[in-house]
Amino acid sequence: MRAYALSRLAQTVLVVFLSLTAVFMMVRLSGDPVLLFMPMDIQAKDVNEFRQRLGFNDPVPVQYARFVAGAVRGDFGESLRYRRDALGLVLERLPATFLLAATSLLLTMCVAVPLGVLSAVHRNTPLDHAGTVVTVLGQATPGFWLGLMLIYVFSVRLRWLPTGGTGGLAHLVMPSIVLAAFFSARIARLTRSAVLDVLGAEYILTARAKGLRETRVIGKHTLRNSAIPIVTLAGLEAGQVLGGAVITETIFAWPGLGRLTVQALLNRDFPIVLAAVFVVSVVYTLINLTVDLLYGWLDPRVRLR
Amino acid sequence: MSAALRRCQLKAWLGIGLTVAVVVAAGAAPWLAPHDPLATDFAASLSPPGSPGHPLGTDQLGRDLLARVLHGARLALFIGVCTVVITAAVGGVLGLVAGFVERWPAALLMRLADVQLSFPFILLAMTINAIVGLGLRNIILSLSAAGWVVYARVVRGEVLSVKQRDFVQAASALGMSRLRLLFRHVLPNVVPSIIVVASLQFSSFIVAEAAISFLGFGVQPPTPAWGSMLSESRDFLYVAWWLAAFPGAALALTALSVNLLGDWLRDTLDPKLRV
Amino acid sequence: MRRLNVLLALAVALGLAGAGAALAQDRARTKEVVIGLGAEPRTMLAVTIVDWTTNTQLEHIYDRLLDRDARTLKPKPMLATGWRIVNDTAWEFTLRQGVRFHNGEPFNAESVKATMEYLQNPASKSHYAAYWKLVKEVQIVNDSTVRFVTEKPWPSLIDRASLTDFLVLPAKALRELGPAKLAERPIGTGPFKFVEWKRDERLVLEKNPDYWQGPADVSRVTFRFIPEFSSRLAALLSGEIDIMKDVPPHTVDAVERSGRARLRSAVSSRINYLALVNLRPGPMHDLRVRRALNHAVDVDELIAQVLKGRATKICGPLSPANVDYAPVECYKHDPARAVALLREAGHDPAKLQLTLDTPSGRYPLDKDVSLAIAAQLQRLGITVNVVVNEWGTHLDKIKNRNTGDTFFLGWGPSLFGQGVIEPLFQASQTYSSYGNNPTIDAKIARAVTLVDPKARAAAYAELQKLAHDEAAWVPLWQQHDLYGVAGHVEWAPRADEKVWMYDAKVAP
Repeated sequence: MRAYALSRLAQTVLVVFLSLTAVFMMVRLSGDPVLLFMPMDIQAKDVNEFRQRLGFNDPVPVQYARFVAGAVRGDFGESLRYRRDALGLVLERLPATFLLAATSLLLTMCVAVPLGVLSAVHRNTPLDHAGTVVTVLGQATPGFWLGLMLIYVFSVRLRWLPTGGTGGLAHLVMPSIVLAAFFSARIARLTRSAVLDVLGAEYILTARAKGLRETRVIGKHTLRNSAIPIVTLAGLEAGQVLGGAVITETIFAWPGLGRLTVQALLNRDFPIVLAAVFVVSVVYTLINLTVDLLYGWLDPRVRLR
Repeated sequence: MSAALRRCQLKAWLGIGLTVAVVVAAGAAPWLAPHDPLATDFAASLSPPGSPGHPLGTDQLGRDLLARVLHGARLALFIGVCTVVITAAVGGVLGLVAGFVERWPAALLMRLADVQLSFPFILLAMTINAIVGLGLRNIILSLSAAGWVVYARVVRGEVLSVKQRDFVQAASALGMSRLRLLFRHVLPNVVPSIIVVASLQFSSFIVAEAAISFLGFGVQPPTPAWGSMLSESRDFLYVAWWLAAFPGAALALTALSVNLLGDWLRDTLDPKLRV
Repeated sequence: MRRLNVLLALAVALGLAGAGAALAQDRARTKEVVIGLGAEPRTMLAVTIVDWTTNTQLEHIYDRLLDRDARTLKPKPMLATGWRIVNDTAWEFTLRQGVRFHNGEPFNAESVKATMEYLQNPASKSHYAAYWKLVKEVQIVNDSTVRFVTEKPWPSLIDRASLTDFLVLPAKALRELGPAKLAERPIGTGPFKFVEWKRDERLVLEKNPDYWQGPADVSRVTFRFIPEFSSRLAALLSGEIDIMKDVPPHTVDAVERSGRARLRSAVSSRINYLALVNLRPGPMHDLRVRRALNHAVDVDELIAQVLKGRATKICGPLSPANVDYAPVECYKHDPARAVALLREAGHDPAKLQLTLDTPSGRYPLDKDVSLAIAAQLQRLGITVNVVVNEWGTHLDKIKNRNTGDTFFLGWGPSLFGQGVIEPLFQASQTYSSYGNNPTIDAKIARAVTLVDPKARAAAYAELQKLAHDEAAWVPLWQQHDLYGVAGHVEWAPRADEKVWMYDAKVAP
């Protein structure tokens, strides 16, 4: 167990380091960051002086060495745009993204898993067909379009829900639905097939033969055994949920990590981009580690190597 | 079982039918579209759907929305096809090599793939676009750079499992050359997986392209791309719902039809594959 | 399942905690105003970052040295009660007495000197260092008099002093707390005090009861950051916010019809133009081609059709809102003349291919205007390839001189001649499109040092005429600033883009 944890840790460090290096090299190629946050009506030589002062005139290896030296201490430099430490700005946005992700995950679990189970149990009934239609449609609907349409109907026309921002529960409704939609479709389909697999297994037949009530057969035996593929997928998709959060947060002006990253990319605010990449990689790795640990708990036969 | 079969066939027919419809619409766009998608007509700007000559209405510059949606289909399919071909070729070859070689370069390659998978696909493609610049060619490149990993993984896994099979081991023991092994036994087994992965990736590429264009990092206006049309539509949401509704519906429909087709291909060719 | 319940309870609790947002009626009663802006401020520290959004929020907290008259836009007293020219390189300001910062510290000559020293200190990395680089030092004459000593004659000093380019910081707090602390909790002399700044969400300010001009009518100002036009509009019409910046022209009717808000507009000093680039090879080197384009583009049609009338045409590089403005004659829309000029220059319009670079979403309908210009030129047979750039790329291209033959740009607030003519008509400047004209270079060098108002007016008038005759741009228009204002708030925007809630009245 400890060897496993150590090797995972080493891998994590490597992955994070490689991602950061790649992004560092790429952002340095993307153009002059200084123009974007300087006033337009000042002389060219003043702009250059500023560039010099920020170190952007140094050779790339020098800049990289400086970046690595700072990054190992958790210092990604000062945001070019906001003049504050970049990592602090990124971490400040993390709770909002977590709240959104957790709500949509909750929503997914409350909707998709029951839907999948019902579809499987009532296989080839109208209920199952309806479920299939919903999930196939859900999978095909792009999140940002769904978001636009929800805004149009519920904010612009009906004025029931705020168009964006944070505040109360009402602000959370549309963003979490949009973020959950795609994810739910995949989880529901997977739940259906996983439950179908398990339902065919002998121990379920045995349980039924023993005369256990159907709810207990499904609730205890089937769900627990179908959980592994579902949890695996959830873990694999965690990264894509963060990707989805980028779009959802942008549409709904949600003050989270995704929106900050998009803004930083547009503004060439490199310190924020790098800090965000760092945080995303770490979070993703932690999620996957959690998933691995969950296996052991769900299925004692799985031994962590 | 017959119900399941019917259901499967229904899905398949629906998928094939819709895909054909989308492809025909895209291919025949210049003849189907009532107007040039770039032609402006200030006097007719923001006409609602059903206006004379403009079945789906017009945008803020009086450009015909139907024409733009149809030409958008061309662009989406073009991007999808290019990206799928590039990623399948690159990812497939790398996967084959990694499966055959089994030395440290292969291990490194797969580690790299893991690194890349640890990053949200959209964010990665978007970052690449922010750096190499915007435009049609660059979005194809960035999507490909972000998307090859899945093929490499699937193909490598497939190669490894094929190599374990008795007949292949036997052939190898009998002194069959590696190249011959590759063409005779491995490729026929790998191709179905590639086709399935490609069909399933296709729609996610199209949607990703639209999302990236939507965020302003992709295909730029006035080129009629669904994503940038949707992005533009946001400013007019209050007065012209159709600008948001139709391009998005077209995108969803395309994704739907390709998804159905992909599901069917998977069920027929490679039922075990989970992507 | 129990865990689910806990999560659910948590979510509900969070929701209720945030549900305290007041309704529009309540706000009218408590005299609170919520303003929807497109972006958040970049800092809370005055004289650090040049950015309209930042400064428009900051100047509720900090005061300027001089203000501008809302109507004439001429400098008028604020923290300084008067000014005089001592000699060619020295200006003296008399300071208001009895003004205190929010922390109780008195405002005096020390504050002005400390502010200049802060912004000129390289360690502050202030953008304003470039604006004030001609100032050698600020001398304290006595507690309520300061003298700005400049390196050479600099008549525009007074124009800078009457903008947000000199928001005064507290000397003692700056020394004792340091800039980082002040950036967290800003301290100024302004009509509102800082309450809280929730990143990417809102900035909350409350009335300063001891303000030297008397307390504001508004008790609380909240700036909310809503990037999308359509979202801001929905927020205004559903009563989430009371003032919205940048109502899109085509939704003006929706605002007026809503019954909740009215449209308030001002002709801004910000201008939009189409640059005809002679700093790179191409047809725009030929004066006849540049003039032909001026005859070919129908500005009136663009204003009427694309901007729905929400812009005011300009004919030269300065707008009437600029203190150095002098009228020049417009090029007439005359396609036949345009074609004749092109042929004279050796171009067959049907074979001429031009490229137009435009940003998207930076100026009102910028991309659509560019596409419409392309369509107008198309009528003459000219093929125009419109390239839509992301903003950073657009700036890069202009700086590196690799835009197309023409590009779209806005400039502002442009309240004095130097701020437009100097950076835009000389080859040495970052964002210029036109240059290498020795006559113009020499005349600019002379104009920026003229202290005598008459001579200065004459010099800028001549430069405007030259820019017009050289057809360096197709001048387009002054933007209209369109605001949606809720029924219970009385407030009107002004040409210099100052959004100042001290002027607002709330009628329940």
